Amino acid sequence: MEKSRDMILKVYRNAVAIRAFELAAHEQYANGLLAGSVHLYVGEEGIASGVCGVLKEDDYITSTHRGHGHLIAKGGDLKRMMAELAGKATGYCKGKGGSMHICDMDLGILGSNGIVGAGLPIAVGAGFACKSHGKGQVCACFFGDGASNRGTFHESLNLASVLKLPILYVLENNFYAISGGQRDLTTLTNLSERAKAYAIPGETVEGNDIMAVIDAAAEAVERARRGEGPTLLEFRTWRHFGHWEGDPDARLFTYRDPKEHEEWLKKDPIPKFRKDIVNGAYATVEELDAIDRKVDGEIEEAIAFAENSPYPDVSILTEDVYA
Amino acid sequence: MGKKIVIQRKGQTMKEGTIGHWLKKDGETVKAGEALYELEYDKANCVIEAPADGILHIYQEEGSTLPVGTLIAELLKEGETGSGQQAAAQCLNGEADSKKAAAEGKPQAASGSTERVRATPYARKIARMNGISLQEVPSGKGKNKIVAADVEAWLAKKQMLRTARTEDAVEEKRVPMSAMRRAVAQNMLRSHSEIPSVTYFTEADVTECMNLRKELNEEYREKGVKVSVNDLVLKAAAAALKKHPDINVSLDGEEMVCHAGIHIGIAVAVPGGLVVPVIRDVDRKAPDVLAGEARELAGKALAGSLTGDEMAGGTFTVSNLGNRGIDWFTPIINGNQSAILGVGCVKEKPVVLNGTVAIRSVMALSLTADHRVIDGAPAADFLCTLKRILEKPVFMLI
Amino acid sequence: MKSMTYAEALKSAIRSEMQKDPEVFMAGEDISVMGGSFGVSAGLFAEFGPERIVNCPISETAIIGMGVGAAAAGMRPIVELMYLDFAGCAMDEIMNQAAKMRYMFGGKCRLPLVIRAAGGATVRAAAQHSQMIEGMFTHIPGLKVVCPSNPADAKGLLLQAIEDDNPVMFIEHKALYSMKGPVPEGMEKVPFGKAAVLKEGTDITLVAWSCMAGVALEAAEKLEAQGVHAEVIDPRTLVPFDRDTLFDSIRKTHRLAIVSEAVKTSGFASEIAAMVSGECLDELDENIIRITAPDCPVPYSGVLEDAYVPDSDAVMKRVMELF
Repeated sequence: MEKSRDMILKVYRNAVAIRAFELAAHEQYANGLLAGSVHLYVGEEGIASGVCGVLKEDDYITSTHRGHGHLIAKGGDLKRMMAELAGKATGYCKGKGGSMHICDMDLGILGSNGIVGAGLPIAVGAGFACKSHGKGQVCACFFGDGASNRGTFHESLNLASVLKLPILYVLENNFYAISGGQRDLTTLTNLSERAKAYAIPGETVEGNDIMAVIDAAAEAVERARRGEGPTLLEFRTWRHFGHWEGDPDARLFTYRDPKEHEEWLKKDPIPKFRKDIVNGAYATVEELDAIDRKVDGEIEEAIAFAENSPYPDVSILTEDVYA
Repeated sequence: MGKKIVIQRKGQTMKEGTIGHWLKKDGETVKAGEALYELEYDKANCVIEAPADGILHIYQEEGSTLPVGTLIAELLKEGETGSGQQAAAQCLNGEADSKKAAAEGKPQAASGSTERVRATPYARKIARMNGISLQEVPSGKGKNKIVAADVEAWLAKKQMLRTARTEDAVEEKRVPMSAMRRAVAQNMLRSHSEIPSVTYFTEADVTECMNLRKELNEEYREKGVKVSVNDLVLKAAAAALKKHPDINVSLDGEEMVCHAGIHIGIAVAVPGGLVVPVIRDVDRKAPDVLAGEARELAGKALAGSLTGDEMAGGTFTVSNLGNRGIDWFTPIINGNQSAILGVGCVKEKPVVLNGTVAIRSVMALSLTADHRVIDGAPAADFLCTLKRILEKPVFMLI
Repeated sequence: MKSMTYAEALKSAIRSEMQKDPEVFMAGEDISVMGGSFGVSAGLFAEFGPERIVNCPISETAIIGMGVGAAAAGMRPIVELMYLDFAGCAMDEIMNQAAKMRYMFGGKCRLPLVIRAAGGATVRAAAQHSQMIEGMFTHIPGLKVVCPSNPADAKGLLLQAIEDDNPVMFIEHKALYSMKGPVPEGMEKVPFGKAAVLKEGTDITLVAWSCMAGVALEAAEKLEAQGVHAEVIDPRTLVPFDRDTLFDSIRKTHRLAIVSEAVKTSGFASEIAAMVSGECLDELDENIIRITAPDCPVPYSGVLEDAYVPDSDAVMKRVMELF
């Protein structure tokens, strides 16, 4: 696929913004600005930024409990995100949602989700709407290897296939459903093989190779826009941190193998992408560094914004229950 | 012409009646057969029904005691004028008075305020258990409802007042006599002052009688009938009266009336007084029939639904205080009869029988007789016959 | 007696039952090497192995369904739902299968199934990981519903639950797992349907279970300082419910406040209020008070969540309105 410089730089910006945001969240969680269940996307940035790179503004996505990256990749505002994580009134959800429910419907995000596998059937509905509205929109549904073992995965892929809906089922395989290893909980090597059961294309791609992510996503999106139905894309990746902030595995390797972890850290998507960008002559190192610095500034602003924002007034507690 | 409503005569001895409650309002359209007013008389209350359709014009207020036959209201057709205008004017005055009383906040007789008081369920329960009305309980603590504490405080206050009153012992209450009380008083006074009576006492060994009762009740078990001791006394009294017609008499002026039938009155205590319904031809009734009738009449007496006829025509009366633990008493003769039997309680007592002491059931009997018509000897003979029958109930058959 | 945490007490019950009865096994997500999301099964995998501590993929439907089937086939499964909210993913298995099997089949089936789940707010886990929906399960005949409020009850009730021949919703509270208290070392069961009177009093009866029992007790102590002697009753099991203890208490205090962490509408607090007004109304000297969460989802932001969950000050203030 022909990739534009603009698109590549957008993807790069988003990938480093996600990385910087997550590292800041990690730090702020430790500092006490953030609370609750925070699931970081560090290491997996390539998938959200790559897939969203080929999406249009009016395309939909569904997200997961590990959803910060999806929101940033789809254009989310870092300030309002950090404020939401801090439970502030200026956050995306007025402080009501927090990390697991951070979301901006205006960006076509149909929710990050605390229920594993809940996004898959929602994506069927979004895909159905895209098809009905006939404007060439698609829906990218992000979910993990854990969710692929839920009934919703199977029911949704079947229905999406039957209805030929314009959906990218984006399986972010980081190989662990919390502590449950994929090799212990499934009997397949490549989860994309499950696509066969529903007679749709399925492909396993290196998720830390952002160029490859973009190519695979672009092809699936084109297929969807042509009305040829859903695709299952499995992106192999690795989370650098624990399942959630506080997971002892991040320090003690209670369920993951430290050697395997070391191997994956070497396959960090961002340095590789930088190399590929420079090698492909999309941009220079200096240009990329400038983007990095800009992002760092944005993150600092976001933290300051979150810190300085007020907490919500208790009076809003029972608002927003009904339309 | 409208239909006149008068104080109805409900029995032989009834001379006047009291309008207890009007059950329809003045000016209300009434259908024949609908309940019109509550009549209190001598010994009972009853409801008088409308004899025809019409618009009710009330001439006499509730609570008025009037001679039998007094016009108290009329049922008129639309536009018709009644004959009781004067009375109507009186009634209107009465109404004006009651309105005035209401305006002054005085309690009105039978007004029955039904405004709901805000109170908690537990407060209601305590009030109910102590028999007080929540209307009288002031609510405290600035709450807009009465809670248990309010009722308890009120009860404590009332208790204090009551104790204070008892200490002073000067407070007394004046309550007008009810129609029934008045009738009982009049009857008793007349009987007691006019009749020179003598009371005769004896005891009867009713052991066999009690056995008979048991056997009868075994027999009647399926019918669901239960014969009481009093039913057997009635039966025995009837048998004795049959043998002694000189007891079953009345004095009417200068003449003695020897009654053809044996109709026995049974004295029944009811709230606020005493009534005496009459069982007819007791001598001719089987024990189960008699028991059923006695029960029905006693029930009606308690419900206040005895008709005048059911209380008229007695020739002899039985008054039983046995179940209240009384042995002997001197009953007062009822109406224009000449004798009354007082039945005392049945007790187990040592009795000398054929030279040995045995434990037997013994009943106390008191007979009061009018000496003007019944002398000592015939009275004693009658009582002995009665005793003999109660001791050997088989004699009832002879 | 031994001092242990709520989580340790639960483990102690599971361990004892597993040692005693080979038909007892555990199934759930992250229960093996990780020892469960709240550490309840820590060490059990090492002791009993993968045959009896069955680590499962994220497949709530299959996990609970497996429990139903194994119980029907003569085993005594303890299945773990992790968060009570996830009951939504397995509601058919709970509501239509487990609860109804015995009745539908004319009493021919025993279903000794324990479904353990962590309910409750206060840890900033937001809308999909914080609910107390115990009332929903009380609305399903066939289920017993247990809500322990302290370590000793946690153990005694779980022993009873495992030995019970009916499906039991065993609802733990995530804010209680670290609570320490004396726990009997033996196999003494706490019977179902027998409330605990946590504090005697004469002025008002406070009914509360799970985390709210402690809140009510704390409120009662604050009320004591105000001269109000509150009696605190912990029903411990909602189905079966100990009406006698409650009614006896109301006959003494004539006032009732129910403290519940669930939302107000159609919660179990409402059922208690209905029970009392239906059978004990004459004894009430005040309107029944329900102190509950408001009718809205659990918010994330600390200020909002703190306002959402009833605390002892809120209970005390509301009760003092009566005195």
